Amino acid sequence: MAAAAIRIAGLVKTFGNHRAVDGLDLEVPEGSIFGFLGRNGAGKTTTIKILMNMLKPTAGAVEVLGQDPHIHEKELKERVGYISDNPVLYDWMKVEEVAWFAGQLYPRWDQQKVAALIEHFGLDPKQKIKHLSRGMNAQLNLALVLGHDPELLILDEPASGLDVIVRRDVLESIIQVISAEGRTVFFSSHLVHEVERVADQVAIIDQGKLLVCGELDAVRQQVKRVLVRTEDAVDFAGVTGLRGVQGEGRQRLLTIFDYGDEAKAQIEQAGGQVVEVIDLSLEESFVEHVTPQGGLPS
Amino acid sequence: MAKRKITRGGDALHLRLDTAGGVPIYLQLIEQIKYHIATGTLKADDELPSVRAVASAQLINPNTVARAYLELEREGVIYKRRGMGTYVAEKGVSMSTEERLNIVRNLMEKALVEGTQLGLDAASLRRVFEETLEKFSSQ
Repeated sequence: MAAAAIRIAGLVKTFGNHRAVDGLDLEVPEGSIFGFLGRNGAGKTTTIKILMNMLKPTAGAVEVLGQDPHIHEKELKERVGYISDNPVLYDWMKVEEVAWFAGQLYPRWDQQKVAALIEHFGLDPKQKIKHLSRGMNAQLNLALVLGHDPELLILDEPASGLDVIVRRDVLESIIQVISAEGRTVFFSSHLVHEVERVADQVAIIDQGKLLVCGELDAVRQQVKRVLVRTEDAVDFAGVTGLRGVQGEGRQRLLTIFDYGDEAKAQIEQAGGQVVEVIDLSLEESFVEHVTPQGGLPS
Repeated sequence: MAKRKITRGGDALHLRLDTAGGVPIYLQLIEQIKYHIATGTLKADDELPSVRAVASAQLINPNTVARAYLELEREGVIYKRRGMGTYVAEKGVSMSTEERLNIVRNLMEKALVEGTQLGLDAASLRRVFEETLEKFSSQ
């Protein structure tokens, strides 16, 4: 078992009556690209802010690279690269000034690498920060975060609202970090199809609670669609793990959690014949996890 | 504004990976590399792009690429030279007769599904196949 880059145990954060994080347990293995998935408002940003010691937990404990972020904040700032969901840089400075300024904060700073990245992204070093577009701002933040060679990279909704070129830059940066031995990337997103390409571990949270966590393929395969042929108006309600039925005629499409021999036997007992078991994409699986049962009220 | 530099690592390998179909990415990689060998795009002792190059070009996890390469190496389709790169094995190319048959098999299955849905029976399907093969061979 690999060491954990992040450990979250029984984490609770309340704002007034609202429980933004509600008893979250999570372990992010070292060396993984970990996709932290949830809808808007699921508690992702709150959790990340606690990891970065920007918020204090109401209850529970977190550990980042084996340390308590509240006690070891300064040391962790040097070891962890973080881009918030709304990164703000000093907007009166020029690109090259920010790069120099950031370099003063980190012992492992690589000025050459940052300059090369700024050039690679096509940014003008003389441009003022306040004149950068949203995409350029994101690219500059990536250059700065890669510049101090972080052991752990934490990104909060890194691709949100960016065009396809900059989203590529974000994913390439993630791959660059993970390619070094023992590095870990933890990123939150609600853009599931992008997570699917790059992550090897995922967690899905909803309303501050963990729904599922593990290897991407295992999480994806937890939900199946099962195409069933049936003669009469049979009822599949008793099938274990059944989440939904589409169609009313001879062919039904059942959505089933943890489909296996047991569910198959129950389908046959109810008078159905399994025609095909269909794998879902992570996005489809995600939707099944976070959608309340039943469709829109008609 | 400075122009974006175009950087690439290793030989190009045409891959089209798709996350909508529910097939794990490492399996798609394995299938597509075998396909390139079967169709002759990749020949014995051709060098494959590095794990890092494939990961960056396709924006996928390097571990996923490494897993596909490891599996292909285990099957004897590709081999590694220490301190160098990864190459297509002689055995990989000869083994690919089976792969070639598999490609045709999959295409035929699709045609048969279509034919059955159109209400054709096995005898007429077999006749169409024989006729088409004869016409094709005589060309």
